[in-house]
Amino acid sequence: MGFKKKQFIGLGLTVFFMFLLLFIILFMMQSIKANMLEMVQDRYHKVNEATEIRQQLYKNDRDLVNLFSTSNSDLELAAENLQSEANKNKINTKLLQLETILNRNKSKVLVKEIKDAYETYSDMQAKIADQIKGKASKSEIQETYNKELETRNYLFSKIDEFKVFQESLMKNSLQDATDKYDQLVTTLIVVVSIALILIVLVMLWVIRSTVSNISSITQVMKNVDFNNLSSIPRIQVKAKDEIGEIAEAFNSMASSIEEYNSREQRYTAEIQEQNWVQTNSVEIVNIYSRHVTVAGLAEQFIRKLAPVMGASLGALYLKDDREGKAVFKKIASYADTEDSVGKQEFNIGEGIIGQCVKEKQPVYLKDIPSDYRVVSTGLGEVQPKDLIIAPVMLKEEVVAVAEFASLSEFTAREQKLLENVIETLGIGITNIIGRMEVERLLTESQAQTEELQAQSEELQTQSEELQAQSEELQSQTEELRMTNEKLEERSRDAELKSEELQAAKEQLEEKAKQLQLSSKYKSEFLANMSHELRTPLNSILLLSEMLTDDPDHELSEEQKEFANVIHSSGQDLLNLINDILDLSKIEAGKLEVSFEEVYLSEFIERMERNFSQTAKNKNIDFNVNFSQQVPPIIYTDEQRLQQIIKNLLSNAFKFTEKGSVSINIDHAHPEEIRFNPLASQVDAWVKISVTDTGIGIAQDKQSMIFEAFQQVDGAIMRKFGGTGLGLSITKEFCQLLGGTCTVESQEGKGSTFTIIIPNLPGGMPALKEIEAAEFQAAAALEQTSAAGLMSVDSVVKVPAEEIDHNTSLPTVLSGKTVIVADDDHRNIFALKNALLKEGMNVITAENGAECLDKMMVLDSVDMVLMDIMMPVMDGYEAMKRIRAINTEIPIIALTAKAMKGDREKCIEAGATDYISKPLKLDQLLSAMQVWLS
Amino acid sequence: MVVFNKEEMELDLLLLAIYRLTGFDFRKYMRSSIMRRVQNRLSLEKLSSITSLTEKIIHDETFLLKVLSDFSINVTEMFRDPSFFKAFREDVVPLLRDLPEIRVWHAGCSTGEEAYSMAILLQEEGLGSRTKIYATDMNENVIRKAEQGIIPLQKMQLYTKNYMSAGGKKSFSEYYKADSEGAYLNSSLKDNIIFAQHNLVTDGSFNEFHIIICRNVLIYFGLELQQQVFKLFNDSLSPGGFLGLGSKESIRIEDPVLFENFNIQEKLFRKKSRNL
Repeated sequence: MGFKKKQFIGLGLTVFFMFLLLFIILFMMQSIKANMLEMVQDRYHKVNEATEIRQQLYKNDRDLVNLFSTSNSDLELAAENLQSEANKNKINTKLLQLETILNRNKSKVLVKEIKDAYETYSDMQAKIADQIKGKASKSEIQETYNKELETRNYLFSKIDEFKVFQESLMKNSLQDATDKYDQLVTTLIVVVSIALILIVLVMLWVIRSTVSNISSITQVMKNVDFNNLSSIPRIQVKAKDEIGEIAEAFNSMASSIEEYNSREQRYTAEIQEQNWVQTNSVEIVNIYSRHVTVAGLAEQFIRKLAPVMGASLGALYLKDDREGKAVFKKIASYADTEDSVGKQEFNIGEGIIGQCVKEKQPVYLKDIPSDYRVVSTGLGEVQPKDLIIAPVMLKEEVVAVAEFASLSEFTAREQKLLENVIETLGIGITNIIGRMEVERLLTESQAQTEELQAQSEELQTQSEELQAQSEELQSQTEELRMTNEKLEERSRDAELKSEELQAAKEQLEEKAKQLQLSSKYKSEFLANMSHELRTPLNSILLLSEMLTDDPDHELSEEQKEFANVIHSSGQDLLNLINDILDLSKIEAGKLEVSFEEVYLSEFIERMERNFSQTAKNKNIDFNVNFSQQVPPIIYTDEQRLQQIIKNLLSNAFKFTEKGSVSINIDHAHPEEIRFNPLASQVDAWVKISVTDTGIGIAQDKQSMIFEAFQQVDGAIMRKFGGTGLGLSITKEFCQLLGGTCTVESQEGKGSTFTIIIPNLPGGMPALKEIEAAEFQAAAALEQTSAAGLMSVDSVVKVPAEEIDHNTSLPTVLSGKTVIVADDDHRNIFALKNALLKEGMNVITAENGAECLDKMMVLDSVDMVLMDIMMPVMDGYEAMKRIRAINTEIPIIALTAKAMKGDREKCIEAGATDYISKPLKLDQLLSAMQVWLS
Repeated sequence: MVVFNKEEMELDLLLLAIYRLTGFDFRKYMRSSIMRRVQNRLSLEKLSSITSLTEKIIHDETFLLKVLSDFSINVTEMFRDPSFFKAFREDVVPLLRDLPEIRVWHAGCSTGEEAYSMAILLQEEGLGSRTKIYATDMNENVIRKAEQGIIPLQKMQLYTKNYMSAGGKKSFSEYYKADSEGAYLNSSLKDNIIFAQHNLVTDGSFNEFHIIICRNVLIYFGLELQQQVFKLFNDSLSPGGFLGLGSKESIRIEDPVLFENFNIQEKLFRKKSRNL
């Protein structure tokens, strides 16, 4: 039975008895009260009612009796009273009330009898009342009353009887009540005693059963050893009540505490293990930062880790990428002697350790083969029991492998530690390798920087050497310049002379022009004359030819011969006149040329045909050489060209007795047309030269032959005939065609006449006078420079010592132009004089603005000396503005020493240098030398 | 097994010959630099091999001198790398003010421009009278040139600019007189400078210095020689003394306890120990 139930039962019983008692008491009280009420209300009331009814009746009766004694006047009133229903009703009502509350038959019978008696009585009353109204006499009334007296007595007796009955009833009730009270008291005593006994019994039962359970639990609880929670005593649960539940709860708590405790112990162990792993890991990780070499790190790593892991043997292999092939080399070992070691290095996949690298997984070996390497101790050698090979990974790659062997088994935490540190070792090793790489790169870059610097200095040295050489060259150039200056002087003299010559030449030209004019007149005259001469000559020729032919055979042979002479002489004369006419036409500028296509090959063939017969006659070789580089067609005046070539060829054949005459057609070399005014405008030039092996022309005569009416000598003229105008005309024609005609000859060996003519598809370009003049000038210059060169050669031979003696080197300052900007006239005066003495050109300005103006106007200012404190525009502003237009020119600022920050302001404004006032002349000159050098 | 190419071997022999002939030891110099100088000489002399050069130097002393001067690179400027001198003026000079005497060693001073620059700087800082500058170079020719203190005019333009950038306090023109030949540095500057021949490779320390300036010299030295020289400098510096190197140089030394960085940007280092 549950504790709760027991409690409920115990307490419930108590309460129940209480309620029972209460109810019993209440019930008894109720019955007592009912008895009392019956007694007091019912009985007493009934008695009371009966008494009242009797009194009423008595009153009525008295009233009736009184009627008889009363006067008549009052009688009526009494009758009225009698008749009043009030009385009657009062009694009736009382009777009825009584009737209703009566519960006993006897009483009811009594009341009925009373009621009936009262009916009769009241009837009598009513009769009396009627009698009174009917003015009945007293006697009559008396009689009536008397008649009814019996009724009246009966009524009263009955009422008394009722009253007595009722009073007896009341007495009975009182007796009842007393009985009941006694009964109640005894009942109460009995019930309470029983209840008390029961309650005590229940309580005792409840307390006893509870306490015994609890104390057994307490006992167990007290026995719990709080220091050792691993096993807690259990409570033997008997009861199935709450205590039993407590015991059960305690038991489950105990078991959960035990479980918790064991778990905690497990956790603690784990934590301890982790701590151990962590601490050792951290210690090993700490090693990483203390080492700068992988070998040092590895050594320390193995030395530290092996004892911690309880390993008796240990080795670390580092990956070495040699020639693209990864090899793992041993870099550190523990308890390992050189010769007892198995492998100094291994390849991937080689043996278990190699396989470990391949699989990237640690290998734990429990059953070590008996031939595995042994651990040496001082006394002997032991076989290791357990073996771990762990790859050191970094980013999925094995960078090293660690191997440990132990005499005992490796514990989980040792394995865990190894796994832990192996993870970080990869990073450590890579860091060091990275650090070493960075260090190496740094060193390399430093070395490279230094190397660069060295190279740059070397270069600088070389450039300085070069500069020295160039300086040497410069000084040599200086010497050359000096000699040049001398030469220049000489050439100036020469120039002077040439100027004089020029003047003379101009005079001559003037005269020549006059002459030309006169010759033009002459030519015109000649032309006219020739024409005039030709007309009669024609008739002479015609007629003489007719005579020679002698169609009628009338003339003698002699006459015919005469006519022949006349004809041939006339022909000669005509030729002469034609030549004169041509020449005069040319000179008079009347000859016109027309440029058209000339097929050179055809042209030359024609020439060849014309003269081949002559060559054959004279037994002379006639050669034609036609270069392939000549354009096939040129534009020129074919007629004139033909005339030129004919002239040259006839001359050649004329003066050649034996040997050969050759004609060469080639393109002209640019050198050869250099001084031709058309040189720049014409792209193709043809050179035709006629070479003979004739008598040749003496050197001094060569310039004359192109003049009109000149022949080398009169004797020749006589011998070879001719007018002597041919070459003159040839030359003029050449010029007309825009070309030139030159001769090379050696007396007795032959001559070569060369003409160079341009290809002019667009006709003769209009040559400006200037260009013509330039052409002439260039030609003249050519001559002078040639003369100059000759004189250079002669001057260079002058010994160097002579130059040194004669000249002093000019200073850096002399000839340079400097602007002195200063508002103080005395300063300007002093500076100007000093600088003038150095041979400088000095320009002064009184303020910055003026200085700027002067700089704008003058091109060749070499330096500016700038005072700072000036009116209108100060030195700073002026320097800034100068720098805006000229960043190169050296500006030396002349600053007042007193002012601090002057220097910085000057440099900021653009000063190249600055000199503090008061000025020291040699300092100023030194600085000027520096900046003008 | 180190594989030598023949040219390297020839160079070894040449350097050995030079060492035996003159006592100048270039064997620990930067190989590449020496090789370039030799190649340069070969091409100038139109010689086909280094061996032929070796032969020539053994038998022809003028030739030997020529090759020697080839190995001496004399690139310098006044106030070279102005920021170095500016940093020296601003950061180092204040630490020197309390010294009764300041000894400065310009090792590898070439034609002395930097030594003169240092003299100008210390004079401007009011330390001139207390300063002794030892300017040394292995090349006696340049030392003689340095003693003269004559500078080509064209270079003076650059030097003026350098002087100004280096925070010069006066006009640079106050320190020289010029004519058309060149600029002559004031002889008062020479009062504080002692020029002497000294070979960093073979010679030892000769004094204790507060400052050693050795700029763009170590770049020609091999690593081993550099470390030897650093050791020499460390031995020659007073505790807390300063070492100034060239802008591209750095202390590449195994033992970092010798020097600490003072101004790494300008390559100013300080011998470890606080009290100067």
